[in-house]
Amino acid sequence: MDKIFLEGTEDTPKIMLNADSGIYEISGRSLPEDSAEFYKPVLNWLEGLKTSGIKSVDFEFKLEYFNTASSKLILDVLTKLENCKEAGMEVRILWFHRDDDEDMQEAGEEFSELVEVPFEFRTY
Amino acid sequence: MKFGIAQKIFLGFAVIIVFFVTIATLSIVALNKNRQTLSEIHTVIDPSLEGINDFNELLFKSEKNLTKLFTNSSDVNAASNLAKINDVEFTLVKNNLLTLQNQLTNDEIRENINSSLADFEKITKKIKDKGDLNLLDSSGRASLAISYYSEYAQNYTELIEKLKTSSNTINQTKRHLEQELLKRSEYIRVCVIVLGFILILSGIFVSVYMSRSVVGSIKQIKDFLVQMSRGELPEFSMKKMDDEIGDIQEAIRKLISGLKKTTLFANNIGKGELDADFVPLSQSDTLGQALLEMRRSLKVAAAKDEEQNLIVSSIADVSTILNTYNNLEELGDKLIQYLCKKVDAVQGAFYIIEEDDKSGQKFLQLQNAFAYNRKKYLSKSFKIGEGLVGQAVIERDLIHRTEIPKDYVSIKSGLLGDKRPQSILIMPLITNENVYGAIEFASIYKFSQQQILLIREISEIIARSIFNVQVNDRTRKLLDASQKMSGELKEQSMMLQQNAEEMQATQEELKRTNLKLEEQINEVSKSQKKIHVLLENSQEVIYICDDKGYISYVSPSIHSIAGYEQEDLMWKDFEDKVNIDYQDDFAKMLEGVAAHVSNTATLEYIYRKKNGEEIWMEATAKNLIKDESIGGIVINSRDITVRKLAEKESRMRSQMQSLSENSPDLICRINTKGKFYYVNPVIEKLTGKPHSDFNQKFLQETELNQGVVKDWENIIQTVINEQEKINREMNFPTAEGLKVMSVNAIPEFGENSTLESILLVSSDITERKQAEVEIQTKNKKITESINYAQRIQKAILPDNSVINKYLPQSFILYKAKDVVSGDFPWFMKIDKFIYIAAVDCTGHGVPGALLSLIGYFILNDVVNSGKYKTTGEILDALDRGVTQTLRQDVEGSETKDGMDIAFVKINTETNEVEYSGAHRPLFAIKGGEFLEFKGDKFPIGGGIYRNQTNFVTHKVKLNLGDSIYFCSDGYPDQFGGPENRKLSPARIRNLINENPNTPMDQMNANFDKLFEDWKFGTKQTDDVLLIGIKF
Repeated sequence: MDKIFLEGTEDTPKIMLNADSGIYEISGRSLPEDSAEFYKPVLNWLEGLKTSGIKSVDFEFKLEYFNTASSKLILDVLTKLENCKEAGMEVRILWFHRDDDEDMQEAGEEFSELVEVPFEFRTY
Repeated sequence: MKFGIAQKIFLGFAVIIVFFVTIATLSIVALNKNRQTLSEIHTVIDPSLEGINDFNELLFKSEKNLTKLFTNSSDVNAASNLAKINDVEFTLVKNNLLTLQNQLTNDEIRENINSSLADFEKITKKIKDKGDLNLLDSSGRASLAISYYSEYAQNYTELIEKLKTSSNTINQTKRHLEQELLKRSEYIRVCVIVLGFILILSGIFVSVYMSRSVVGSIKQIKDFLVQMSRGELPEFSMKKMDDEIGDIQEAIRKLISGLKKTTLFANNIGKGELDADFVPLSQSDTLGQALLEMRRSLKVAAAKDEEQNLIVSSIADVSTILNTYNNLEELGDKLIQYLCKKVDAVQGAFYIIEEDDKSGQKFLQLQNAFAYNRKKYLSKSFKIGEGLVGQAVIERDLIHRTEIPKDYVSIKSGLLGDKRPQSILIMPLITNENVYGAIEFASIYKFSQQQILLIREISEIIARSIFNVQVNDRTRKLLDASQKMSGELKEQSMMLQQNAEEMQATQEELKRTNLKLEEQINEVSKSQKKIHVLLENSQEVIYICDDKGYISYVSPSIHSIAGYEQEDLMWKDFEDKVNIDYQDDFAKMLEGVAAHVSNTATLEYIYRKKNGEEIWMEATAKNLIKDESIGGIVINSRDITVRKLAEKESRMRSQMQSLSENSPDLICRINTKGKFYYVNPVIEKLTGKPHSDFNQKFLQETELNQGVVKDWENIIQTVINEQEKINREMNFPTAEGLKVMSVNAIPEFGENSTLESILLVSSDITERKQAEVEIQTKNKKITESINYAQRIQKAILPDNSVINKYLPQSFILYKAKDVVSGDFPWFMKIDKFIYIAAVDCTGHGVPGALLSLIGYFILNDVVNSGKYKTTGEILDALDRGVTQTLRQDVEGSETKDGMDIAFVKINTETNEVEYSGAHRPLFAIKGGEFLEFKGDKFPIGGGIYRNQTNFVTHKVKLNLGDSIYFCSDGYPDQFGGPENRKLSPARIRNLINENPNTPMDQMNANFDKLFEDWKFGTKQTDDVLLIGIKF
């Protein structure tokens, strides 16, 4: 499987997706100009992950901020992961937030209610 | 017989034993007697007394019964009793007494008892005979009875009396015996006392005697022995004893006297009286025998000493004689005189070996003879081996003859005179293995060993003296001869002097030659020094090495070139100094050069200096192995680093040039005076003029466009001023039309950092420029369009002035990220109700603005319709409206867009507030207390959310002075602050909480300041919208 590695910027998150080494991470800020375009490769990649034969995925979110447009796409990412889980993969979301960042904590909680994937909340 | 200690002790004990035995015997006898007496008393006397008593009792009983019988006839028993007593009991008593009386010694008692027994028998018989009393009638009986009775009573009384006498006698005997017992006991007591006394006395006597006579003597002897052990010999004075101690005394006395004698003897020996008389104490007297042995040894030693002394003194005398005379004749004379006396010889002769002048044969010549103390002038000579004398010389040993036959006249001893000698002694005189003569003595006695020894000892001394004298003689003769010769010598010395003068002349010549040589040497050393200095300062290093690179010489210039000392490299090879890439080449070069005489080869290689730096060197090796002064390969090596660098640079330059020749950019190098050093062919294309029109020409000379020349001159001047690379854009009219050029002007510095030239690289950016202009135009259009859009948006949206009309204490803090905004405030008043909202559409800028318009109108519709009372119902309706409008309720919808909203409904009469939120909270201050109402966790629009329910309506009644605040997420999500973190809702809460009574325009400023300070230096994250209302 291909790898995706995008260095984070002020507007876009850092994205690391590497099935070989078992690293799945989206971190930083997400307020791209066109969030749907930005997340498209990620969503495609996750589509491929479903049929890759990978047994288990620990997907890490370590976001400081995402705008409302991004939040829809993050939900799409989570939905893809939910599909993976339904396909028999063992999926777990590790949702990191700063211990004083209630927005991110709440956002995570909100997402956890929207998809049938186990969430683990961790602070950093 | 001697009375020894053992006998004395035995005698003492014997006396004690005799005493003891005597007294013990006496006591035992007495004790035996006592035992007999006691047994007599016990076995005879006491039972006798008892028996008599029994008899006595029987008599009484018999009398009583008789009396009864007579006095009382009625008593029937009396008669039987009487009969029983008189018969039965009496028989017992009688038997008893009869046995006892046999043992009684006293006849009187025996008779007495016997008669008593007989008397009683008589009485009983009488009684029996008088008949049976019972038959008597009473009258008759009475008178008869009385007569009988009185008779019987009389008999009884007599009998009793008799018995009493017997009893008394026995008692008397017993008393007598007891007295004897007492006496004997006393006797035994005395005996025991005497015995004890005697034993004590004898004990005391024996011990006193023993301690006096035996122990005292032993102590005295011990004292003597202690003294002797200390080496003293005391006078022995002790009372003579007759026992063993006496023997010991005698032995000690003998020992002391013996030791005294021995001591005296030893003293005598010590004094040298070796003949002192001494008899050893016994055969086994070791000390005595040892002393005798010592005396014997001393005697022998003394004799030897005497001999030795004699010899030594004689040798001394002889030496004196030998030293005194140095003439053989006199010497021999005195010597023979002396020696004859010494050895008791009657004749003596002294021979010397001489050589026959003619024949050269050696013979013995009698030098001196002595007889009877007179000189005998005899001349006699013997050949070697002739006669006894000659024989002795040949044998080189002493001849001693004692048996000389009477008629033995042929002995040619030369000493035979009237009186025939008893013995002859001939001794050759030998020293240093040479015989120098002989001495002969004849004596009428036998020569003693001592004398012979003396002669032997002396012979060598004499021989030496003869040798000395002969040598002296010879020397004297030689001296005479030499004196003769000295005259001749004088003549010769004259000649020598002449020769010496000639020699001196030659020497001077030599000196001059030497000086010349020295000068030459100096010259050579100077030129050597010169060479050394030259080598030292040479730019080349010269090595001499063998074919393996083993260095035998390296020139001193190695220090200035590579930093090594000569010693560092000598006797090593090049290996570790030559760069590893060149080591093989180096070895090959040496191999190749070594192959043939006069071969040469050159190699460029990298060499490591002592400081580690690597330099390029060029080595030229030449085979000079056959050259005797070199004998190896000479390598001249010089530093070519500079050349190499220059080569490299020139290579680079040519590469650069080709790069530049092919570059599409115009590249030219112009010096500070404006002269072209170089220009690439692009110039031809640009100007249509040949390259040669520009190369090596001044700017002004060329036919370049004057504008270009001017611009370039400006650029060059700027670079000269700033000494830095600059970039300029300029117009460049070309054959093909006007072009825009971006010129990079790069200063080029020569040595000493002076600016030598300027490289001008002009890139054609005409197209880029055109594109930029286009973009700018488009951008401007877009901006204008957006600005226009903003005007429309602004026209629609409420602002402070609108709101303040109804809510005087309120503010809207509104900061769009771009020109147009996705956030928008919304306001509507219907009757007594004020509806006010902060809406945040997904995205910002144009898309946000578009969405905002949709939201705006739908919200207007929903609220205006009046169908929905509570804020929750209104938001539900809004959600439906947005979803439908954006067709998000259709399967496969692409858009996820929607909006977050904080929606407030205020009853202006009652100040009751309703609130519903999509992702947004409401903050309130009620009565100074902070409250927060969280919105629902789903948005308006954006598709159908799984967790979506109806929006909750929160209600709160507020009073005057209370306030509410709500906002989009742009405010809390703004990044910034010291750690570039989000502003966070917590800061909003704090600001509200800290200012419960602050006026709203002030709060507006506070919020603005907090936001701007936080954002400082970073860009705005999102559109910001915050609304505050105070009642």
